[in-house]
Amino acid sequence: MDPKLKTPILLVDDGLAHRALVRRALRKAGIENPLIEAGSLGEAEVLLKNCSCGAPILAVLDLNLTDGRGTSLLKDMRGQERFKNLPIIMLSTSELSTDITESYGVGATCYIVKTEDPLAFSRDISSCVLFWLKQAELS
Amino acid sequence: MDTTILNCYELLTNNLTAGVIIRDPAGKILYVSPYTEVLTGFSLASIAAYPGDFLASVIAEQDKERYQRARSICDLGEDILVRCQITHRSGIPLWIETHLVPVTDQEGNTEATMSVSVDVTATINYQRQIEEQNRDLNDFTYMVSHDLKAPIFTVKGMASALREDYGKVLDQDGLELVEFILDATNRLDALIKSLLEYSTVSTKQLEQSPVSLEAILQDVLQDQSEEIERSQASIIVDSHLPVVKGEPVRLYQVFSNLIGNALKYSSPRRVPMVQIKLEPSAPHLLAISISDNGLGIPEGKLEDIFRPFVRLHGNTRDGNGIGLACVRKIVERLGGHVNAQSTEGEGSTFTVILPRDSRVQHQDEAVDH
Repeated sequence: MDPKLKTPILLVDDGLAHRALVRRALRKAGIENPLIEAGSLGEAEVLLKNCSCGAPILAVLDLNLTDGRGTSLLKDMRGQERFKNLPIIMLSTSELSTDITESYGVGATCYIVKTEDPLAFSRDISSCVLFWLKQAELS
Repeated sequence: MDTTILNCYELLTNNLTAGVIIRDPAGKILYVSPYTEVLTGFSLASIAAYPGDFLASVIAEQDKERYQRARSICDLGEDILVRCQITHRSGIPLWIETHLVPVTDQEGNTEATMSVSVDVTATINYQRQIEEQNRDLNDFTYMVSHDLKAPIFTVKGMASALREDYGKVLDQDGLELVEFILDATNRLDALIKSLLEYSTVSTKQLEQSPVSLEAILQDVLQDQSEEIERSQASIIVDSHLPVVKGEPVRLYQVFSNLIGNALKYSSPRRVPMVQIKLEPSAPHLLAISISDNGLGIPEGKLEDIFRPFVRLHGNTRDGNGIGLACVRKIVERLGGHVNAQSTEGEGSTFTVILPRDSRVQHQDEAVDH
C-alpha cells in the first residue's frame, strides 16, 4: 500500500462532535489513514513533540480553539523545517474574510468553511484531503 | 434701529430660556438676553464688553470652523441653524443649537445679526447613550450569532449522519423524527443568518457618495427579472428619479427588499403591478413611493411589519421577516424614514424619505446630528 495512505493525519478541533463529523467524512470517502486527534493547542503541541508514530502527512486545524487560535499553531508549524510544506487545512464556521485572509497569511494550504449543509461539508473536506493524499505531489 | 422693535424683543427674550445676542455690523452688542449668563456662565456685562464675537469665543475648538462657516452664511443674508459644543465658564462642556438670523431693514440691508442659542445638551447626551446601546446590542447580536454556528453545525451534521447511516433500520416514525430535527436546524440557520445580517446593517460603515436612484432601480429590476417575468408583473418607474447621497449597496438593499416584497405578496387574483414614483416633499428631502396592488397589510400592523421577525403570512413565503427591519435601519441611518400605507386586499404603498444629495452651504449641513 502507498505509504502516504498509512501515515497519520493530525486533526485539531476542540469540539468532540466536530472531530467525529470530520472523521466520519474522511472514512466515508475511503480515507483509511490513522487520525491523531487533539482538542486544544496544548494537546496538539504535546502530540507533535512526541510523534512516536511518525510525523503526520497532513493536518486539519480548527480556527477557534478553547486555548487560542488555530493560526498560532499553524504559524509554529510553518516555522519548523519538517512541517514547512505540510498540507495544512484550516477549518472554521466563520466565513469572515478577515479570518480567511489571516489563515492564508500565516501559511494555510487552504481554508474550508463548516457550512450549514452537512453533505456539502463532508464532500468538501474529504475531496480536499483526497486531493492532497492522492493527486498532489508532497515534499 | 427702531426702539419699539427692540422693546418687543426685550420683553420676549427677557423671559426666554434662550441666549439671545444682537450685534450691529460693526460688532457692537445691542442686546444680550439674561439667560445668556445662565447658559455661558459669563456676566452680561462681560459679554456686552467683549471685543468681537462673544459666542465664537466660547465655542469648543473642534466646532469653531463650523460655526464660522455658519456665520459667513448669515453675513451673506441667509439665516442658518448650527449645533456646537461650548465650554461653560465653569469648564463644563455643553451643547447648544444656535439660530443665526440676519436682521434686515426694508431695503434688505443687514442692520444687525441676532443669535438665539438653546441648550441641547440633554438631547445630545441621550442620543449618544442610545447610539452606544445600539452598538452594544449589535456587537452582542453578532457575537451570539457567531457562537451559535458551531452547535448548529453539530446538530445538523449528526442528524444528517443518522439519516444516512441508520436510515435503513429506522421505521417511518423514526425517519420522521430525524426529518423534524433537520427542519428545525434549517430554521435555526436562517435565523442566525438574519440576525447577522440585521446586526451588520448598521455597523459596517460604507462609502457615502452621490447615487443615481435610476441606476439602482435598473439593477434591482434586472436582478429580479426572472420573478417579474414569471409573475407577468408590470413595473412602472418614474422617469426622472434624482441623485441622492448614500451608500449604493445599502440603497440597493432597500429597493431590492421593497420591490421584492411587492412581487412576493402579490394577490393571486390579479396581475401584479408595481409603481415607483417620486413624490412631492420638503426641498431638502426626497420621497420615493413603491406601490403595489397585492395582498395589502391590515391596518393595525403597519408599524409591526418593520419589526424584526414579524411575518404576517407565516411561512407561506420565502424569507425570515428581517427584510423590512433592515430597510428601516438602513434608511434611518441615512438620515431618512420609511413608512407603509395600505388597504388590506387591495395593495400597499411604501414611502422612502431620504435627505437629498447635500449641496455646498446647504442649511442642513450645518446642523450636526
